[in-house]
Amino acid sequence: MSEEGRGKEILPPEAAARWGGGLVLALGAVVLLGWALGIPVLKSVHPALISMKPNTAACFVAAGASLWLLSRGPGGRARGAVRLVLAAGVCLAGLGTLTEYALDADFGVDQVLFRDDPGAIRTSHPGRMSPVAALSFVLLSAGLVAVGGRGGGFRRIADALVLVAALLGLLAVLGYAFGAESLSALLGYSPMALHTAAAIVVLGGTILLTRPGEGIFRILVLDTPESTWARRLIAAAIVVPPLLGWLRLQGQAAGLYGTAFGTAAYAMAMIVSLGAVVLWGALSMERVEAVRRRAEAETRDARERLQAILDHASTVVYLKDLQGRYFLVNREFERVVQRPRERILGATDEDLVGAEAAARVRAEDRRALEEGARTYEMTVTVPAGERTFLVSKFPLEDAERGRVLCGVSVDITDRKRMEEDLRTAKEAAEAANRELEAFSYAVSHDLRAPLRALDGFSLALLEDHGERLDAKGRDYLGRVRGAAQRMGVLIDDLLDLSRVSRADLVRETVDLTGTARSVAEGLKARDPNRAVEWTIRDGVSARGDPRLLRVVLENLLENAWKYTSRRALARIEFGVAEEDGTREYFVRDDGVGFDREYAGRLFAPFQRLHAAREFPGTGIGLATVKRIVDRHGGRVGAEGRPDAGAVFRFTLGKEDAP
Amino acid sequence: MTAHPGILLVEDNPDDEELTLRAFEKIGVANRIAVARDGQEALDYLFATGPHAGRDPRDLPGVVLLDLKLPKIDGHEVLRRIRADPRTRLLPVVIVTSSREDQDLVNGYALGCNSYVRKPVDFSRFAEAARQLGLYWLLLNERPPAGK
Repeated sequence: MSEEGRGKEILPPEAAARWGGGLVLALGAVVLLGWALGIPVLKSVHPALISMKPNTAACFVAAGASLWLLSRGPGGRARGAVRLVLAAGVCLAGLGTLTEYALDADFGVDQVLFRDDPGAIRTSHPGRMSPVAALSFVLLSAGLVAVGGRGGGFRRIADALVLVAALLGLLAVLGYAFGAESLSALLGYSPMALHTAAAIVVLGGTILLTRPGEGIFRILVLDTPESTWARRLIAAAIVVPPLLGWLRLQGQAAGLYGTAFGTAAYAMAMIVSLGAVVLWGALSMERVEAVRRRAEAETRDARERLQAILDHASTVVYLKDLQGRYFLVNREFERVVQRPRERILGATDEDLVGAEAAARVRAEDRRALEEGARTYEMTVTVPAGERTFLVSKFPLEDAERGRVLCGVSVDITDRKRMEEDLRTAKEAAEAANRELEAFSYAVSHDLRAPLRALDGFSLALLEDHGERLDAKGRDYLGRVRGAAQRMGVLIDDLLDLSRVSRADLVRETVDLTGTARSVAEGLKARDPNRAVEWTIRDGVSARGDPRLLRVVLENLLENAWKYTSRRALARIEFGVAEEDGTREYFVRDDGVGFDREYAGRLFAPFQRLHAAREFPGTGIGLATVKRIVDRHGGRVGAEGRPDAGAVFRFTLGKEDAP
Repeated sequence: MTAHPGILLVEDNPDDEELTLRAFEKIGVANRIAVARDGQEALDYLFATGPHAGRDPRDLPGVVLLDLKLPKIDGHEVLRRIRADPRTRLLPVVIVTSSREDQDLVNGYALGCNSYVRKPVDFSRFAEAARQLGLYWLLLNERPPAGK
């Protein structure tokens, strides 16, 4: 039943009812046993004292049972009825006895259970309980009824009545301790027996301490510091004054001092002891307060640190309650909504981003509460315009507000825009590539047809009407044919270059030795009269695209073949060198070479270092080689000197590891 | 049209047509050539429809020389329809084109062309190619049984 912040009960209601009720029930039963078996010590504790009357003992049995039943849990209707009957019995016994005293009558109920001794000590009416005990039972019966209920006005009245009964019992116990006259004896009636008085105190205390979810006595049974202090003070209040009073009486009885001095000494001792208790309490409270202040300072530090960290974060961070009201935001939040903190705290999303966006935020809030945590993208319009946030949202427990929601929002608008730009650019590039493909196709097909006509009809002219032209005319027609054919080769080379860029790259193991040999065979077949010494290294293989690598070797070996054409005996070599875990392939020749100054231009399209008259070519071959090597992630380079040959080297990127 | 043409040339470019015929003239087969100027005309000729309705559709050429880039119906589609029809299913078809695109080659063979020849710019080489084509398909090659 204990609520957050009120402390836990160290004495649960059931335990109080079980132990208090059980004790009283047992005492009543023992006394009844004493009556039944005629054992004086059970009846009166001491021969000089008045006995507990059978009705009193029966009342204790009933009251104790009533409390004990309560400790068995809420129970059903039947148990409630039994408890009510028991309480009513206690009440009737008390009322009946009081009526007898008041009317000076004898209803014959006093000795119904057992006959009392005719000469029982200090007994005004044989077998009849003391009028104070009877009154206490009436008062306690109200408590017995109220104790099972849920509190309220009746409970408060009952508590007051029970308190009176307990105090009457306490007065009687103290009277025994100090050897004083009892209250009822002053009126000429039977006093309460010692154990009767003690049992009434226990019964009253039990009723007061049972159930304390509310009421002023709950403060005595919690685990809080104030409850501990209340228990200490009550204990001091119960123990110290009686003890001091008893000491004072002992001194006076021993003739050490008279009443006046005894009272003065008693008063002084009370002042000292109560003062000591008060000082003890105050000092202890001071310690508690210091701890509390330190905790408060730590809490404040933690809060300020948290706010400082949040304020220097570049993401939006906030906390809001389940009504959607913000109660913690950081500086970035202020910047994004362009409002000072004072105008954000307490505001809702409706106020900040409008009803439409707020509805979406609320839906996400609900999902975050259901799922425990959620990350999503949301686009909202803030003063800076439309922004997209990546939001992480999760519920937290807050002592003051219960469940709250925490959100961390990263502005990803720019990132999204970049992604979008990248996508657009990629699409544009793909579209351009498709266009290029269509263009290449048209070039491949349509540009060659007119060249074929130029060449074909020039030849037809030469064949059919050649005799009507002079040598010059036939030379011109030959030049027309030559130009048309060169342009045909140029177009083919350009198409190859573009195809190299567009084709998908397939990586597999390529036998470069075999490829080089097959290219060399083709060259030898084309011009069988040339004397070339080929050195092609055995067992060279690479990871790369077989078709494209063939194009590379074709171009490099054809170049070598071409530029060694003036050598009587030419040397062409293909091989591989390994350096730093990279394979570098090379094609070396002893041809005309080139000027180192122009080496940088070698691999650009249409760049030629030799006149077409000297060595025919389009200037596209090496550009194609470079593009293929680039696509493999490798490097290509050339070294040469005029008339001293050339070496072309290339690598094929990381995937071509040895 | 001759009664038993040896070759159906499907070619829309008049220059190429003229040069091809000239090449065949040199090997003496020019009189056995029929020409279709677009894909539709080629199909009309083969299946004796449209302007060629009067022709006997069983009278098929020994070989079809098919350009790919044609008006109306392109060469690939013509080839597809030739292979789809039981009458022309086995008819030899040689693709003769300017295109060197791999895709065209692959498509051509996938659709069932019998050969793929690229037109070179150099007419001497073109004439040589035409000569060999004519020799091979008209004289050396065994035709599939008629009517099948």
